[in-house]
Amino acid sequence: MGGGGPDGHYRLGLSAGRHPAHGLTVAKVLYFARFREAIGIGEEEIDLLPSDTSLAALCERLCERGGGYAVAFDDMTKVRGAIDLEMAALDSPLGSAQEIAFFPPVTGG
Amino acid sequence: MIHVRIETEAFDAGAELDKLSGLGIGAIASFIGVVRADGGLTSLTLDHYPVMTERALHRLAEQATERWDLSAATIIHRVGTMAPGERIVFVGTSAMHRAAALDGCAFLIDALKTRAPFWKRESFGDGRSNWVEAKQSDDQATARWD
Repeated sequence: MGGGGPDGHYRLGLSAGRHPAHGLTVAKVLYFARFREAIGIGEEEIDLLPSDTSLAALCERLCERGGGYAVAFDDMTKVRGAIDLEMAALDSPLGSAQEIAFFPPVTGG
Repeated sequence: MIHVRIETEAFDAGAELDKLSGLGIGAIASFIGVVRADGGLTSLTLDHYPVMTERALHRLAEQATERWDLSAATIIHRVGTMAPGERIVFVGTSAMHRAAALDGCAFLIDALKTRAPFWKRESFGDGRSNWVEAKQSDDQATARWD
């Protein structure tokens, strides 16, 4: 599962992309508003998943971590996502995403 | 001419209108959103997704400019914490005639409520604080432009 584990240790602060040191390709995942509050961090890295993995499937994997993740992804009707700075439907494949974001429906203006 | 700013400081709406008037085009329309003191609200805090917000607002301004042949579109959106009565957002458009300026402005404010990554958090005098839930009526308002 992703770059995190049950011990709550995540590889933070690395830029997204290929890291020659360990040869892994990673993606950055950002959380905003109530997602950041529930999960307790604004950003983390995950090992890149197969390109046909959907945003929704990534939500499921994150939700399986429990704790704040389970709270954040409890109601999928209130989850919105973006891939590489573009709003994306939850059935969108991750492709070669470098930056993925999860947040609630927007309330600006 | 497209002008997009996302900032924490208060903006000068008069100065923005002056810039639009200075273009010498026939019509200017503007909208200003203000923090409401609903239900004892003491402050409103806006969170956003910096790079994506800027891109989204630019794209909306481009869409409006193309669709209504605007000569200028300005969007200024504040982030951070604001008190009731403070201005949150400014949308200004200029065009040859009023209908284009008014419609372009109405489209921009509707669209930025549903298509730009901003989130509002309300805080009240009794200590309560919560994220604002998105309204279905906002989605409907944006959909009328499709």
